[in-house]
Amino acid sequence: MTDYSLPTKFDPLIHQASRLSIVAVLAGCESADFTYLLEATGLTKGTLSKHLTKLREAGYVAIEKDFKGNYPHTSASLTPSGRQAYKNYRRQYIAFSRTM
Amino acid sequence: MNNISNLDNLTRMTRRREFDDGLIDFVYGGIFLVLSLAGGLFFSATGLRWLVTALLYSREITIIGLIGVVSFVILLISGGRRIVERIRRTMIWKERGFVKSLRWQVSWPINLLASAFAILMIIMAAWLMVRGLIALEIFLRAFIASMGIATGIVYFGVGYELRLARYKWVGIVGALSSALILILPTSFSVSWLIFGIAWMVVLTISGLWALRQSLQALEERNSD
Repeated sequence: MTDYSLPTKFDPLIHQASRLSIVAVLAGCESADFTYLLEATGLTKGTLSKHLTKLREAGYVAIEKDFKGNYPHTSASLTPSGRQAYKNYRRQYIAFSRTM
Repeated sequence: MNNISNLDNLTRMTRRREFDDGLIDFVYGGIFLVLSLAGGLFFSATGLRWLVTALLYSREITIIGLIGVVSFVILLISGGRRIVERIRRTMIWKERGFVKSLRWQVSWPINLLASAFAILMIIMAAWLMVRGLIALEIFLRAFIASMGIATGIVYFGVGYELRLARYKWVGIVGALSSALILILPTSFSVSWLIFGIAWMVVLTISGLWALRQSLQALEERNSD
């Protein structure tokens, strides 16, 4: 039987396309708010919220909630382990692409 | 599936946000101006005379005064950034969301290249001076020019990394203006002034251009 599994063991939490986009955006800043993440990733509010929660539970993303005037304001940032995980993923991905 | 260049584009786009509206150029332009004014005054004959007189009068007060000048520059940097942040929150990024930029925007290879260039240029100028091939004034001017060219390398590098053509031009023009200091027959203090003013002018033009583009984009976005 043909083995279709990836030869490199990618981090499954980051490998998912939407979460990968979120992490790539957050890798370029200290923190970004929900509005910016929506615009940059093109995800819907529900999807973004769901994936941010997963990343937070994995310890890759820190979420801060406060109020700007009367409006709730959410911002997210990569934790040091999240930043390292993305760095490792990127490196593995490049190495894997070279073997193709 | 995302490929690596799409991911890098997302990261780059987020990093670029710090520079897209040009506001940060005004802050750094201001810092260059203040530093050059301080350096120009400090290294002038009048400045050195004042310093010696002040040190003879009271060493403690003079040291406190110098610490005050350094603190003022630090305040200027953090204050400028805070003002920029406020303008972005209330105007430019109001509808587009807020991004807090990375603390260190310049990657280590660029910093290494710029520092290595500056150190090499200073060592070379010192060697030429020791061998009697150039005068002390030229060595001092080479010191300022090396800092200006290193700054140019940093801007060009950031422009290359973030694909910001504007910063590539800032780097080239700033570095060339700084290199001019080498051939201008001016004193050390005047060279400092030229260095700061040149960078202030380059960054202000860059900031104005980017701000104009940014405001136009904002207007188009609002009218849609």
